[in-house]
Amino acid sequence: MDEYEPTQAGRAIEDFVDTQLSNWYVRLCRRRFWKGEYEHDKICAYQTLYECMETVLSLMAPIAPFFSDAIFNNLNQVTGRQKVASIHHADFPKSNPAYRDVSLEQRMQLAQDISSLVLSLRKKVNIKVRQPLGKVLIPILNAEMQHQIEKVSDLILSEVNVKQIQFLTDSEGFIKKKIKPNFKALGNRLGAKMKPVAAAIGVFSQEEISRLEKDKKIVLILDGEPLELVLGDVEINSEDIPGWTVAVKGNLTVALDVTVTPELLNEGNARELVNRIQKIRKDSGFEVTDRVEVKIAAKDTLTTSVAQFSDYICMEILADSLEIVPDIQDGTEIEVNDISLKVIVTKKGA
Amino acid sequence: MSDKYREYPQLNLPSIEQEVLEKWAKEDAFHQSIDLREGRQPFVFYEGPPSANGMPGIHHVISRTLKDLVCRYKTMQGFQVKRKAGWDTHGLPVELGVEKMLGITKDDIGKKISVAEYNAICRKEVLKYKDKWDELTRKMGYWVDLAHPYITFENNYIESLWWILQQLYNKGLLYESVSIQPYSPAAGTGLSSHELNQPGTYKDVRDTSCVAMFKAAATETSKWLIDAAGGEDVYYMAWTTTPWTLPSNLGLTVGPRIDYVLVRTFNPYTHLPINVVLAEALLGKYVKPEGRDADFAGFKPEDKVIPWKILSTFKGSQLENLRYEQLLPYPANTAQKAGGDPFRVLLGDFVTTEDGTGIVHTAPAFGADDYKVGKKYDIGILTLVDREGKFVDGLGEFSHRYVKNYKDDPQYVDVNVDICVKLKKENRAFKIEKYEHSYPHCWRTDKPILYYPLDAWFIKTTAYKDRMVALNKTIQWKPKSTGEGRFGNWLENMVDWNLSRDRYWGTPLPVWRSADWDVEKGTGEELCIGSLAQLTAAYEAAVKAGYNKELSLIVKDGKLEVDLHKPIVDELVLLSPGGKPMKRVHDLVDVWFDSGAMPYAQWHFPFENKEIFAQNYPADFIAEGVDQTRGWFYTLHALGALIKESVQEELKKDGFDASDAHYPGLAYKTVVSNGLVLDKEGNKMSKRLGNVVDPFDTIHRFGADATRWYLITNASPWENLKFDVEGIREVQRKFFGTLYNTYQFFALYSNVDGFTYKEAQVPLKERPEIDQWIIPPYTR
Repeated sequence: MDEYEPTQAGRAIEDFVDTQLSNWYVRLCRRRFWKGEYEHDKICAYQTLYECMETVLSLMAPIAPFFSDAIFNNLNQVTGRQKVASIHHADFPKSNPAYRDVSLEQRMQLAQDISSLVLSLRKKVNIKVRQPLGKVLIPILNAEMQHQIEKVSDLILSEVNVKQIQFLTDSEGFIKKKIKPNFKALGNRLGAKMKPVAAAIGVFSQEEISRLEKDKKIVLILDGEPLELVLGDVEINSEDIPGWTVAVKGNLTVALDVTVTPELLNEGNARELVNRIQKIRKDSGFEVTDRVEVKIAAKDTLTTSVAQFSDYICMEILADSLEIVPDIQDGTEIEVNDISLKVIVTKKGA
Repeated sequence: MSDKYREYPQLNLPSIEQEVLEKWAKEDAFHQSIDLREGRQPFVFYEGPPSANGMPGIHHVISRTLKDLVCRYKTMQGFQVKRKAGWDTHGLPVELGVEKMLGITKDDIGKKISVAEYNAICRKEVLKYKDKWDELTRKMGYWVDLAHPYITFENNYIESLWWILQQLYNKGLLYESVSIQPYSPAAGTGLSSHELNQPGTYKDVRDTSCVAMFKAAATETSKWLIDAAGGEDVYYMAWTTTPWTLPSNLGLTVGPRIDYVLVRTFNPYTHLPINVVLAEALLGKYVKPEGRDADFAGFKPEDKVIPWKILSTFKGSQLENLRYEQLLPYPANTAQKAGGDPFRVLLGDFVTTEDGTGIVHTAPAFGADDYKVGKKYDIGILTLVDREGKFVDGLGEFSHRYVKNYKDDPQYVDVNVDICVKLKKENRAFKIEKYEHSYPHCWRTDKPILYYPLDAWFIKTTAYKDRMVALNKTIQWKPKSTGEGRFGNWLENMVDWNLSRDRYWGTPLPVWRSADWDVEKGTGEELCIGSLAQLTAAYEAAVKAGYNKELSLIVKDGKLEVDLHKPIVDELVLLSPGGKPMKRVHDLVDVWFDSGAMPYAQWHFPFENKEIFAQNYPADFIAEGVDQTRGWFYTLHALGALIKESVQEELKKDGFDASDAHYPGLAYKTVVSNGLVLDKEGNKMSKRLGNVVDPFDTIHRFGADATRWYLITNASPWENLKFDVEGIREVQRKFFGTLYNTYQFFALYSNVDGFTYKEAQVPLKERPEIDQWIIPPYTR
C-alpha cells in the first residue's frame, strides 16, 4: 500500500480470506468450535479466528469502509478490545516479517497440496469425501519432507477422510511414471531439433524421470552436444495401479488406495446419515445446542452401519437416543448412499 | 457494549451500509478521524475540483475510491489527513451549459440578456448538481470535507488567484501578445495547448483539399521563368486542406534549398495546356511516369495518361519575391486592406516535401508559421473569417457563410467545396480530393477549432521549463510511464500558456490600463492588481478624482464590497499612479488556472491561513483520471514551479522555515493517474451508445463496498477498466460472502459458548500449530 499498489493489496486480502482463512483454517477447525468443552483449545480457536478477522477487517477498511466498520463494531462491542468507535479511528496493523515461520508455512503448503491432490483423486474415481478411505501413499524425496508431512498428517487425514499416510522412500516399481515432452515449451526453443529430443525423452527410464523430478533438470547428450531440460520442458504423469489412483503436482506424488472395505462402507454410511440428520435439524429450526431423539426405520446394510456407529452418530447430532424401528408412518424420507429410509427427529422436551 | 455478537439473517451490503452511514453521521466519524490525529504528522491530499454542472459518473467513483482509500489508509497509519472538498465553477463547461439551457449563443450575451443576469445564472447553474455530487460522495463513502469546500468563484479564492497573477506579472512572466492561437468558433474563445491536448480532441476527419494554381505575374524578375515556359502563363501549385483560408492568401512560401521544377502538362479538369511550378520530389503525386515526354499534340481530354515534361529545374531561393496574381480577389481582400506588400513568393525553412507541392499557401491570420513568415516579409494580414467562424462581408458569394458547420445546421453547404468548384471552373485547381487527416476539435463543443490571430495574455512557462522538467523527475508517478512519457514529453515540448479567454463567467484578469495605452508608442499606464486592498486603494483614488460616481459601492474595513466578476469589475475605474483613469482589459483567465492554483487559493493564501498552508503544501498525494495529465496535473505543476520564490518569501515573512527542502517548487509528490472506465466490451462509455453506468444505481444494487472493491481489484487503477456488473456480483458473492460466512460462523458459536475475549490472550506459541499458521504476520 505504501507503494500505491492497492490492486495487489486487495487481491492479497481476497486470497487470504478465501484460500487460507475460509477454505483451510475454518474448514479444518470447524469441529474445534462446535465440539468439546470451552477450554484451552477452543479458546485458542476463538481467539485466533477473532484476531484473523480483526486484522483482515483493518487491512480491508480503506477499500471497503462500510462492511469492515460494521463487522468491526459487532466484534468490538462485545470484546471492547479496541478503544475506538470506528475501525477508521483504529491503527493499521503493522507487518512484522520476523513473525513468520517459514518452516510452518512450508508444511502447511504441503498439507494443502496433498489434500488437494487427494480430493482431486476422489473426484476422479467418484468417491465422495464422506466415504472414508484406507490409505494414502506419498513417495518422499528426503527425510525432511517426511518429517514435515508427519507434523501435519492429522490435518490432512481429517481433511481428506483417510485413515493413514504411508511414506515411500523409493517410488520405483510401485508408481510408474510416464513422461512426454511439453511441445509448447520446447518447440519454440528447439525448432528442428524437436524430433530427436522428443524421441530421447520418450525412452527415459524411471530412474531418469525421478532424477529429473528431484533435481528439476537433466542434461541430455544429443549428437555429442549437451542439452539441458528443466521440469517445465516435460509433462510427467503416473500410471494407475490396480486398486490405487495416482496424482502428481510438481515433485509431489500421491497414491490413494480406493478400495472401500465393508468396514469403511459402514463408516461412510454412518457419516452420510449424520449429514442428513443435521440437515433435518437445521430445516426444523433447532438451535445448534438443542438435544434430540431419533428414530430410524433402517434396512439391510444400513442397520449394521447404524448399530456399529451408534455412539458416533449420537455425538455428532446431539442425540440422546437413537432407535432403530421396523417402520415409521410419517417421518422424513431420506437417502443414504442410494438406500432410502425414514427418520423422525424430535427435539427433546418438546 | 453488547454480550452477543450480532447475527444477520442474510448478507445485505446496501442495508449494512445504510446503518453505517447513519452511525457515521451521528458520531461525526469523519471529523473524529481527523481530530483524533491532531498533532500528528500531516499527510497532505489535494482534491481535484469537479465541476458540479454535470452529473457524476462511474469514472468519478473509481478516482474517488482511490483517493479515499489512500486517505483512510494514511489516517489509520497515524497521519492527520485533512481533505477539503472543492468545486470548479468557472469556464467553458458552465457557460456552454447555460447557453444551451437559455437557448442563446455567445453573441446574445449583453444583448438579449445582460451580462449581470447571465453570470448570475452561471453562478447558480454551476452548482446545479452539487446535491447529487454530495449524495454520491456520501453514499460511496468518500470522506472529504463537504462542509468547508473551496469554491473557485468566491471572492477570497479569486483574490488568491490575483495575487499569483500579480507575482507572475511582477516577474515578467505574464505578457500580452498577438499570435496565432487555437480558437474555437463554436465556443467563441481561444484555447490553451493543454485544452487541445485533452483526450479525444484530435479526430480523424475527411476534408476537401485542393491544389490551387496561383498565376505568376510577368515582371522583369520573373522573365526567366516565363521564358522557360515559352512565354506562356506559369502557375505556382499550392496545396491546402482548408480552402476557406484561400481568400485570405497573401503569400506563397517555398523552401530555399528545395529543388523545384517547371512542368508543362494539361489541367486534368479543363484539359487546357498549362505550365506549373512545384517541388521536384513531389512531382510523382501529380503525374504518371508513362506520361513523361509523351505526345502533347495528340492529347485528347478522355486520355487516361496526361503528357508532361520538365522545362526547367531550379532552387526555391531563385523564386524569392517573384509576384503572382491574387487567386480570389474580392473587395474585402485587396492588397490595400491587407496592409502590406502581399502576393509574393517567400522563403521559409518550415517548408518540407513530405506532402503537398512544396509550395505553401500562406495566410498569415490562420497559421503560426504563416504569421511569422508574413511578418518577416511584411505581406500584411487578412482575417476574413469572424469570431463566429463565418466569412466577413465583401467576399461575394462566400460572404457570411460559415467555414465549417459550427451550428450543426442540417442545411449546411460546405463552403470549402464551393470554393474548390469555383477554382476548378476557372482553371485554377489542379487536384481536388477528400483528404483524411487528424484535426483538433474543441474539448467542450466537439467542433473543429481553427487557428486565429488573437491578442492574448500568456504565462511564460517556457522560461521555467528546465525547472519543471527537473522537478518532475522527483515526482512519484503511478504509473511511472505517464510521468516520463505523456507528461515528460509534454514538458519537453511546452509552449507558453495562453491564459486569455474571451468569455463572461470566469476569473477576470486583474490588469487595468489607461486609455492611451500603446506598447509600441510606449504611452499610457498599466497596473496589475494583486489584492482586494490594492483594488480598493486604486478605486478610492479614482473616486476622489471624480470617477466611479455612478457606482454605488461600499468600502468596509478598507475593502471594497464588490463581486470580482464581470460586469462590475469592468465598470470599476482605477486611478493610475500617474493620476490617469484606467479600465480593465477584457480578458478572463483560463479555468485551468483556477484549479491549478488551488493549493494556495483553497486557503486564501497569502492573505490568511499561512500556517495551515505551510503544513499542507505540497501535496503528498493527488489522484485523478489520466485525462488530467495535461490538464490539472500540468497546471498544478506549472504554478508550483513558477511561484516557488513568491511562496517562500511569503512564508519567510511569517517566520516559517521556507527552504527548498520543504518547498522545492513542487505542488505534489505522488500522483496517481487512473485509467478510463470502458464498458464491458471495451467501448468508451457515451450517452450516444447508451452504455453509461449510473453510479447511484450500482451502489444501490450492490453496495458501495462491493463496487469499490471491484474497481480496485479488477485491474490496476491506471489500466483502463472494462466495467462489468457481473464482476461486482462476483466480488459480492465470493469475497464479501465468504468473509460474511466466516463472521456468521464465528458469531454463531461464540454466542453459544459465550466467547467474549475475556480470557487472557493465549501466547502464539502455546496455540495449536494451525493457529500459529493462520495468524497473519502482524504484531498486535
